Amino acid sequence: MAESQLILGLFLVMAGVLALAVVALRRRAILSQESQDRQAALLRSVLRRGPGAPTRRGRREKDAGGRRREKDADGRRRETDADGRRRETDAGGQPRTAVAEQPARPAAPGPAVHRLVLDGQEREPRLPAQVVAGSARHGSFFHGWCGTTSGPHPTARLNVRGVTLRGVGHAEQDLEGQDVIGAAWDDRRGVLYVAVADGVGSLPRSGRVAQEAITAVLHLCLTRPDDIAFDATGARLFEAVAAGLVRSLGGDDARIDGASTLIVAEIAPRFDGAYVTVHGVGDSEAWALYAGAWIPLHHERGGGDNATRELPGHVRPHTQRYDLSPGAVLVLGSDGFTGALDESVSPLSRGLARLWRRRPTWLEFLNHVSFVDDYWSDDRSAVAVWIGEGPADA
Amino acid sequence: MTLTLSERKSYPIYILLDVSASMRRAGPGGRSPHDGFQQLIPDLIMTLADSRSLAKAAWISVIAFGDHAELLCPMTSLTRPPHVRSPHSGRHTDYAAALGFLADRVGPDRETIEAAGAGQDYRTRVARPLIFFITDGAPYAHGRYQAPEEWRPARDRLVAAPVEARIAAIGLEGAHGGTLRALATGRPGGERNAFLADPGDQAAGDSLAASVITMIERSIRLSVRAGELIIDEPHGMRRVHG
Repeated sequence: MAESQLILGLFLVMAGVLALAVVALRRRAILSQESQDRQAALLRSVLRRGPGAPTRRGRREKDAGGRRREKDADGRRRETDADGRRRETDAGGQPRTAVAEQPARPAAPGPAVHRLVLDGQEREPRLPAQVVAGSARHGSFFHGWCGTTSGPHPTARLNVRGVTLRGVGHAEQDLEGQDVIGAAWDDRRGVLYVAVADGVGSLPRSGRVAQEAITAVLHLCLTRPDDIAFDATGARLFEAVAAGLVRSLGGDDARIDGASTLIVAEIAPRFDGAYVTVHGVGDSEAWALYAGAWIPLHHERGGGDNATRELPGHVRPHTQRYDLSPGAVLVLGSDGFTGALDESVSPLSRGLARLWRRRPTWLEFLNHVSFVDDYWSDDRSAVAVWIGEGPADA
Repeated sequence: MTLTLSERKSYPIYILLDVSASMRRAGPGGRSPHDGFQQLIPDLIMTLADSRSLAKAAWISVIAFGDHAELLCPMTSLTRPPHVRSPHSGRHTDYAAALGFLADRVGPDRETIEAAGAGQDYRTRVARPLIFFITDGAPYAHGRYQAPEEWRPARDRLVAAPVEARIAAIGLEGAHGGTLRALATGRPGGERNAFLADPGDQAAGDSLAASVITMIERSIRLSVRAGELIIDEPHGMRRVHG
């Protein structure tokens, strides 16, 4: 009798443990689903198409240890430590789901780049008012911050990194690199313009065309009349650039022995995020990176050969408008760089999603853009803009 | 289109080599066009394979034609050394057989290239085939010259959708320019990829080899304007105008 009671007792204890385990597993599954729903909602909020999309405001602060604390309009709190790990609590202070880290991927083989620091600390310089860099016989880069950080209407600080590199293919054939990049801060309007041009390789003067196109488009953006909005001026802007190319580089028959893609973006920082407009002709691309996900903003992929739309031949750009949240990264690049990106699985997409969770130094950025892959031998350019967490996000 | 996967382009390259009797006739230097072109194949493969980026993207197939078409090298990636057999000598120059044989190869070759890229973390896009048709420009079979209407249907199958091949027709000085032009692709009503070696070039075969290599390098590496179908005039050659 006592033996049967003991067996019954053990059975009841095991049943209880099993029931608790089932409840715990179901709760975990629900939380996991919640996590996915929240991430999807977050992504949708980052990329709201079109103007006037509302932004939910909350409070952000950063402590001396590099921890960032945020509180949203519903009282939910999020804490991000210096290594990028996130913890969330609800309005009652109870832990919510943890946002999983991106799976770690080994970095590209080769020695890591370590800054040689003898004394002191490197500081981010202010971005030059206007900068144009090419890759004819050498690589070029620029970096710096911009934004309206003081006065009655401070905005998010923008941190810019740009690099252009002559491709292995051009180097092997002793040809000039034909990518050109540029950036210009418009202090009067409080907006940043960034641009990338990729000369059409089969034509000998395409590098010069790309150089002229970047110089001209930045000049035209900065001198645009106040009553013409950037997002409404794509066709006029590209027509003017094309006409200028033919005027300055064309011969007697108005033909120029060169052509170039062109992509230009206006980044209008707000207090909380930035509003972005992109005009593009050809296979240079624009992407956004947020919360580990890559989103294509402009691309013209799909052709079976190396043909691309170009200036001065094509003057009707595709135009896209986006609203980027704080912490997002806008990337413009030539196809030698952005061609290796996709939305999920490419080694470059995964690698940069991990490496760019925090803003890289200019040297790290240079290392990342000059990734090693035998297939990608074209000229390679990228201009990336990190949308700051606020005016004080140094 | 979605961008869930990045793309890598693979470029199928076909070398069609005329091995008819007229190509084996020795020139002033004692060397026949056939000798020159024969050397072209290993030069081409070694040069392309030497460049890691080109070797990753280029696939090559070699077909000889005379009395009939003969596959010397099936479609092979340059990441591994391809084996190219020596051709049998022919007496005739049967364009219809050569172009028909090639048109039948294109589909299976495309599948071969796509299968090699399957399972990777990128999508393989097979670019339009690039065909180098090396000939003396005198189609002759079954005891008579072949009229264009006999080989033109097979040529048109290659250049029409969905294949949309680009054909460069290459001949030595003295080759029939009109036939080269009819074979080649180019701008509608304008320039075509038909080339003749410059007269007086003593090392015609060598310079042709170098020119073909340059053409392949440029076709793979360099971007072109949308709608552009023209290959630059190679060094040591002149374009055949209509």
